[in-house]
Amino acid sequence: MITLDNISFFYGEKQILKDFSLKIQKGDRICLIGESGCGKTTLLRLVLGLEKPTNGNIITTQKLKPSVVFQENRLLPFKTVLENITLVGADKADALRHLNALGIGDTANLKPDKLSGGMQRRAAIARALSADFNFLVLDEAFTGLDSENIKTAAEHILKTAGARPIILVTHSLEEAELFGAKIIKM
Amino acid sequence: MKLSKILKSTAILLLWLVVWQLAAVLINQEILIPTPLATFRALLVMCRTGKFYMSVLLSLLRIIAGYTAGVASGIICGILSYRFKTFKAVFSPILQLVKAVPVASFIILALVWLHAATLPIFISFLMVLPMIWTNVETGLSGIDKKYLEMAEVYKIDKLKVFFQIKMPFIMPSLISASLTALGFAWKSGIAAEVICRPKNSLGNMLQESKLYIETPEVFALTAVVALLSMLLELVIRRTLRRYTHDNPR
Repeated sequence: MITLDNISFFYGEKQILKDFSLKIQKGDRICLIGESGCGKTTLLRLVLGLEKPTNGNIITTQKLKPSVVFQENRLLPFKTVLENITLVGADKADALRHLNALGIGDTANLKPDKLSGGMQRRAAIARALSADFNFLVLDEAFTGLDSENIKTAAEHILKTAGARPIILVTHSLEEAELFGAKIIKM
Repeated sequence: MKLSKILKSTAILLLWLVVWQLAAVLINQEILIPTPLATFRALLVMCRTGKFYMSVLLSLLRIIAGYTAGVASGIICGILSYRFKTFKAVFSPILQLVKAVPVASFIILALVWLHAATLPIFISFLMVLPMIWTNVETGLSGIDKKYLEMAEVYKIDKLKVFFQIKMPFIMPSLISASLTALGFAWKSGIAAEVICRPKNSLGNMLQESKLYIETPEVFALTAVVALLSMLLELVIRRTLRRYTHDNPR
């Protein structure tokens, strides 16, 4: 589905990625693990099309429709949770279904600043799941959630994603295990 | 408005009326400072003439026309400057020039080009344009790129990004700039009227009162100008408030 072929990436003079290759296929759950600054987020940005590799190619076999939980929530402060979700093209009923599944159905009509950090995180997850996507990117998606909520969210993500591939970045091996993900150390 | 707030405002107003009365009594020359009562009498006399109402109406219309054109053009130019570097590069010197040149110079220059009745419109427009232009451009440039990246990933169409993400982000500062610009439009518009003296205008009435050394009339007209400015600001503030996301829906 997506092939990263000998990717290198520079931020100015600094090399972030060097000859990195990865194949992402249907049903894959891939977990990127590594120290801060090792290029995990850069790799996700490349896959999302937000950056272009300095060298190497990204080959796709079909039109990519990504969905993402960014490292930050990126919820628009002047829109309600539901409006934030429908803005990305999601269906209202779908959005509410995901919010309920993540335990924050009652926050649909609230603006993000009325939500706790954990609730905002789950709203960002609900947005990612409500969008029309064919692969899912999770960049430290569970920061600020307790273990119970992480488990619920992970189960719901797996159920929703089905055979669509998931790439996740995390510092926690337990989270990687919840996804049954193949771990790639960077 | 709470009763205590009304009482406080009234007390402050009364305090300044007393200061004004004391100054007028101490100086004791109506030609320099008329009493509040003499000013009020002059206002009542003016209010009995049709010319006064016609002047108020036409001055208001001129300034609102210039202001509206300035806000609309400022928004368009701000967006174009943000979007197209060439547009910014070409028009930046003109923007700087308009900001730097004193309003009186523009009024005198425009006197050569324009009819007296249209000059205040042009001057108000010219004062408002750069303020809104700069505000929109800097506002758009200052939007956190993270939200725009989110829109890019989800391929949200450009019109939706503009109206549902970018505009709401810049609305609070645009509203504040629009209100500041209104004060400038009003003051510069009246100043232009004083200099170019279009028929049926508050500026012309002010100039006539000054020529005949009718100081109470000058004071009364100044009060009318100030009151109208505050009223206009109130109306615009109320109208714009519904477009800001700080306002609970």
